[in-house]
Amino acid sequence: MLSSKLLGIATFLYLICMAVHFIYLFFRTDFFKKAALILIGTAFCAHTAGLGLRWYESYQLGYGHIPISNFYETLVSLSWTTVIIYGVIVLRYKIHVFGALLFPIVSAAMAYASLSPNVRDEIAPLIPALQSNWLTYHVLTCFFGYSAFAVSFVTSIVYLVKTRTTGQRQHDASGELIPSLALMDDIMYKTVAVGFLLLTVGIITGSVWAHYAWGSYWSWDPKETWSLITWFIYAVFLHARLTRGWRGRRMAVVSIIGFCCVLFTFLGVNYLLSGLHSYAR
Amino acid sequence: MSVFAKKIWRFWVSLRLTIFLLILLSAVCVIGTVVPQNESEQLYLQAYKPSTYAVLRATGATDLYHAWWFQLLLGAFTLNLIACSLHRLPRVLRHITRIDPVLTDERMGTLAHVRQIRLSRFTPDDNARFQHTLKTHVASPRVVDQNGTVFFFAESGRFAPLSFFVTHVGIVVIIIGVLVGAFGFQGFMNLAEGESSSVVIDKQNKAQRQLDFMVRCDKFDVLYYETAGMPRDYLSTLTIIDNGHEVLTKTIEVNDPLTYKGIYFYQSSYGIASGGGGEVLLRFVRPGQQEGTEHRVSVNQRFTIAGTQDEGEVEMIVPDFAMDGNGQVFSRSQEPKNPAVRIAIYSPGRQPYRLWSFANFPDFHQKPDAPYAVHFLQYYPRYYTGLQVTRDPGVWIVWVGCCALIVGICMSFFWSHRRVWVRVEKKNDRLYVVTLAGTCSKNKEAFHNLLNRLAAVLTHKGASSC
Repeated sequence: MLSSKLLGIATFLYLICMAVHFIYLFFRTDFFKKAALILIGTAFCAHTAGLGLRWYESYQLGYGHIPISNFYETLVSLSWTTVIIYGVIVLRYKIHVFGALLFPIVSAAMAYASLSPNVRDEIAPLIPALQSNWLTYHVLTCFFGYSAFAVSFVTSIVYLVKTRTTGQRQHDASGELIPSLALMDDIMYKTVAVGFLLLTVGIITGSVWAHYAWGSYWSWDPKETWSLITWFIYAVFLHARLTRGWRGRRMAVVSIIGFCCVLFTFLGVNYLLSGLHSYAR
Repeated sequence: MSVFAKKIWRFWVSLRLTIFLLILLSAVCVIGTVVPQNESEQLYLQAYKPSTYAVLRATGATDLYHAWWFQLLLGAFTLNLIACSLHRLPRVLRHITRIDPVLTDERMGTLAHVRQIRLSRFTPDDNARFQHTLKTHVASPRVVDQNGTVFFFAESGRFAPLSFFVTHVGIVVIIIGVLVGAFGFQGFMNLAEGESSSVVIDKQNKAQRQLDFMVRCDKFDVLYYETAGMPRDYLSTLTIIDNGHEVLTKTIEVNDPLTYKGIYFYQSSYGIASGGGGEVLLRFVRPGQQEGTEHRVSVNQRFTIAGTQDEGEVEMIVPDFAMDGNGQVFSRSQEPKNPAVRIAIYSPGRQPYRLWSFANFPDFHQKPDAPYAVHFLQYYPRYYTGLQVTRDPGVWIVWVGCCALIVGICMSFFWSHRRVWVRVEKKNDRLYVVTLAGTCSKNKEAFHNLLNRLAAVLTHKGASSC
């Protein structure tokens, strides 16, 4: 199908994106910066068209639904939301270095989705439990939240690497390649703040949906519980920063722990634990 | 307050306690997701050694979220949340209600952004223009004139500092909703098609609970996707009978429950009703003939076989035919795996003739001396629908709390509290000293630029600057 081909092209372009970012780290010329931007744009267009077409194709098969219903679709959609959040950061702060860490993750997710024999990529109809508008609200808010946390995670890694090599000094030789610690600290906070809001809305829309589908807004299902754990960790992040005034390395560490919780909520729960969300496998 | 009471209060209002409790709660929740919850003893003994299981059971880890110490932890968290919020509230209220438009040197020392410029004149025209600028960029200013020194004060996002309170109140309201929910119940009822009942089995203690109205299942249906063969919808048509009157009929499905008097009925499961009801489609063929007549009939319904004087009757429908050691027929399961019917044929002047017919084995058990060959073409089982029945009086409180939570978080992330003080001192006819100062709770850089812009407006409009 055409949608699979488009998504394959997007995966390939993201891989090249990753390579160009690595080259940019070595040569640091504007040419590679621009090339990376153009590649991201092209890959994102193919990605968007692929997802849109898959949505359209599902209607042609007679059971139309937004492509977020199985593991393949969630991996592809989560990559998509991540590229959007990253794009906002790139356009707003003109920082390109995070891409060198983010695109390996994005292309790995895309490649795993389309190549792994464990991931079924055909368009399947929705089981009755998933036939609800809340599916869209719940999954999209959660995914944009996860993506914001992913960008925060990447920023935290760069932050820690920078403090390890240059200490807590604000100015150093890495110049425009790696942004100042203060700016990275700010990005870390802002992405966590946006992610926290979206995660909150995601958990709440999930509760409302559970109320209509299962008759209970909270069942302590492992996925629900892990989303709550993630919420707690980022609540610690925000209180430590806003009320106690923590900054820098300590915040970066909390952000990394938080993102590990996100990953476990998204992947670990499906593969290591069992529960109501089992159809997300 | 005594020293002891003060110490207790300090303990409860500390943010350190909050962070400690959040991390502890997270760790405990992890246990709850790793250890299977509320499973049968068998399953636990398969997964754990008996000694481990004994420990898990004794500590409540097998029903962690209802263990007394988990609830105690949640209680402590709630108390800490309330104490912190109440502790901080008066300070914040004082901060937002006591506004002094006069910029004193003392206040200036506490402000992060201060700028001073000198002007050669400050006419009433300049004054009006500056007020207008403040209004467009911050808010309509308050103006105070003290012995020729003019003070301006503009403030926006005044209630933004209360965002923490809105957020925390949201969480407390959710917890109240959860507690109120304990006055409700969760149960289930199985209703065969055509059957009505007012009895719900409680999920927790399996006790029977009487509703003050009846529910009838008119029909249950499973629809399938044409292409994929997967179930598309489970549909139950339910009718509420209150005081002998049919008051409400609705076809429910997963994600679309029925509500009556605060009680929700959810489509939860289904199956074939016990007792082998339902209908069957049979074809009766006379020996030696090709064509037969088809009849769709239910159990114990006597009917005339078309074109004859003979009558037939289905005496028994068995969804999953089997025989025990004594030759007794029974149904191995409620699934239609091997449907069979026992039919009696009444011909005038003859003994009734009985035979079995099997849907899966059309040629089996057809005897040559039988008056008819009976083919069992289709089995329409009588279904029961499995309903989850829930009453939760706290659910609306939970939703209100959720809304407050979202509003509070939005307020704290996107609403900045900005205050700008301006002092215009007339030193002499040719010299005015203007001091711009302010604070903001968010986006310091943008605020710094704002003060610069205000200063630029003053210098630009005020003839010459020094």
